[in-house]
Amino acid sequence: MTDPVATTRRGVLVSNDTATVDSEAVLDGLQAVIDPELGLDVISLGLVYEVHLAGETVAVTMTLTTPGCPLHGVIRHDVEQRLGAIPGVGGVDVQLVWDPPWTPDRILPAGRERLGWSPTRDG
Amino acid sequence: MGAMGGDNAVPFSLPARFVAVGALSLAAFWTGLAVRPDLLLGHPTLPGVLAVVHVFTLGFGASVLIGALHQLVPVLLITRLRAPAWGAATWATTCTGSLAIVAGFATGSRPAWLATGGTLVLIGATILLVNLVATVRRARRVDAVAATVLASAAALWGTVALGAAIALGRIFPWLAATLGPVRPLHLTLGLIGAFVLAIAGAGHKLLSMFVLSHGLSERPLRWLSGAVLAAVLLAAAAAWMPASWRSGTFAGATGTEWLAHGVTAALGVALAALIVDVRAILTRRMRKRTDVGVTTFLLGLLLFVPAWTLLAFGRTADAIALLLTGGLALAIGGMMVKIVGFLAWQHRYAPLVGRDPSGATTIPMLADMTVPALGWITAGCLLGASLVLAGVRLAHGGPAVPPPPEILGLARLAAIVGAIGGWSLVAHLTWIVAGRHRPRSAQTRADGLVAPAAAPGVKGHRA
Repeated sequence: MTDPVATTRRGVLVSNDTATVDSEAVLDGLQAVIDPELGLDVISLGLVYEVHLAGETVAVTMTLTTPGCPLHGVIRHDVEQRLGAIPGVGGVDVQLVWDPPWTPDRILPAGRERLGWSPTRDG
Repeated sequence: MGAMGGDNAVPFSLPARFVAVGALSLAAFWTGLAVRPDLLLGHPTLPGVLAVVHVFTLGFGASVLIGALHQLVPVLLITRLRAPAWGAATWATTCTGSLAIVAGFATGSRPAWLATGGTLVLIGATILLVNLVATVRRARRVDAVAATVLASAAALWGTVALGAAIALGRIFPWLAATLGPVRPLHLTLGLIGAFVLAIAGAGHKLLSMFVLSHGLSERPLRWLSGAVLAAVLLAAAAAWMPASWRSGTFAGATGTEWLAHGVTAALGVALAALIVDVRAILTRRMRKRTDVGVTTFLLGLLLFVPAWTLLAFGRTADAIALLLTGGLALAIGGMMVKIVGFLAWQHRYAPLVGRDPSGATTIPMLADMTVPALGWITAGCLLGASLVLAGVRLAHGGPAVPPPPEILGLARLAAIVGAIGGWSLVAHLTWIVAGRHRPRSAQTRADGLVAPAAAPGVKGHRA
């Protein structure tokens, strides 16, 4: 699903073969989807692998911190609702994948700080 | 995160009713002891002591464990519980049976009440076990964590079955003669096989998710399960080996004593494996700050160490007292706060998520479900009560010596502090389920940075 002009923004591989949907609005929408236990959004946690915009459809490939996560239904629903509300979006396709598995390395620096990591002490 | 609900979640009322009984039982346990503190120092076979012990083990420990098993096993196996409706039958039979057992002991060991209660609890445990086995048959894979938790469910059934057999043996002497001296096995299977194994297995999964710890080995958990199994088998051997071996002397000790040493050694291995496992989880954690529920759970695990030390020095009754009132109460109490918080959030707020993309509706975070001050009161009181009790028991000369007034006064003080802890847990869980939760956590900003916690004007997660 990745096209040759895909770019990585906010840790997410974004590819766009249409001009009808604003990819920044999609990333903002994903940034509003929050894991209620950790208090962090799915972008900061590095849970979103890829966003592909094709026509009016937004395809999101993402994962969760652990297989069998009980919040997967809630998070998936939240992603669909938030992205579906963006002007120009006609459909949202959320794929939950476990390969590659999520690792803490994917957490963005701001997310690490929120989890209590000191940039100087913990690296 | 999390591993307690989602699409495989059971109805909120199913685990909630078990947890409610559990919290009330813990509060009742300490309240009763505040009235009768002498029971804290009495001989473990006295009916009154057995009554309060069963308030704790059946009313608190087993009830919370059964509720958690209904919720956790389907999630660990990534499938649905075979028959959630059976949970009501399990609850009704175990509650009624537990009441009959406690009442039977409290009124002087009435055989008919004990036998009826034991049978009812066994029926409830059997319904649970059948439900879980049927659920396992739907699963594609059973990993070490799920296997450990399922083993604890099997141990719970075994404990209850032995208890029922012991109770029936009071009516049918031939049954008691056939069973042999199984009380130590009943104890080992329940405290270690059911409770400690469940705490270790569920704790491995839940703790690693709550503190966001990854890349963990399952090997310590396998060692722990193997060591617990060895301890149970040794206790079974002690119960059912020929009488000549039991009393026969080998290298200066009887067969029973050697097997008791073996049980202690096996539990030492289990404890070492638990320490290795928890240390690995905490070392690798991404979430540096631990909340009150997790801290309470860890305090409970910490008390496993002095409890085992007392056991190694032959102070078995004191070890059990510390394990029950400190280790298990704190570990289970801490997880109750986390689990009930999650369940209540799923029940009340999950349906609102994504419903209002405009952001007009705010949804609390899971951290907003709790009242940390109440959690710390619970943890502090339960910890204080167990430590004071341990000190009092060590200072006292044993159950054969009548306790002097100052020792009895300290025991009462421990019980009053414990009762405050128990009732604060009840109050906390009530708030978590029914309170008006106000978002106070941080939320992310659209620019990719994260707002600081408790920043002015931050109203939590917008729906």
